[in-house]
Amino acid sequence: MNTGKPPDRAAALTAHIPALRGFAKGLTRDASLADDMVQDTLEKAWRNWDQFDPDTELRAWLFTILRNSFLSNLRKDRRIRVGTEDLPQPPLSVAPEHEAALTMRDFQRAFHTLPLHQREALILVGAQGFSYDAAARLCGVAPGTIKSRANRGRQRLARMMAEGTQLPADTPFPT
Amino acid sequence: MEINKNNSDLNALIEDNLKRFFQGNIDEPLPPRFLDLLDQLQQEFDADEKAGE
Repeated sequence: MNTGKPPDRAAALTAHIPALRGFAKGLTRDASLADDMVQDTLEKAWRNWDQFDPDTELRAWLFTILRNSFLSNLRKDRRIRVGTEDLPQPPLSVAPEHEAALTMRDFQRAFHTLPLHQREALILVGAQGFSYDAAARLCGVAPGTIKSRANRGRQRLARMMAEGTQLPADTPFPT
Repeated sequence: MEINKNNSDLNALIEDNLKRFFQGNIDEPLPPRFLDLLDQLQQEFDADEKAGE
């Protein structure tokens, strides 16, 4: 049983907070909700510290806790899917010649039009550096599934960015 | 930023932005809420340890 000395446990958790925030922001699109999720993750990790196997990767364990909490909350409150509080809004009146300015150049907005599973795969593999195998274990799917989701996500992003896809400001974020 | 439609440029741009937005910035100061929480949990842990003595 791993009890851990408090200073070591706190230091170990603190070191992973930036990465957890990055993951959460990609899942929720809502920065405030993302930090709520991270805080919840830290508390769960602390209180269940004896369940962590020190021979495994702490980061993966923490990401699993956060992911499971997110999915659990998603089932309870479908409103979580749509986080528009920090969504950049286009100007209220735009001359026709400036409509091109509303095209899809905002990477974050493009990213959040992707289905949840594609966003998750891209964050884990593309942003956080997990291997396909590690990301697959975290998500409970086969490595080939993660690879497929990441590739489809990249293809959709590349297509939107190349074509300058225009989205209305109230475009919902599908999950 | 002018987006070059070349595939390798787009792919590089995508990978750069994934890291930029979702990797987590270790140089960004942490909001106090996280460290406050860990302090609180540590105090509870210390109190439980002491109570068990």
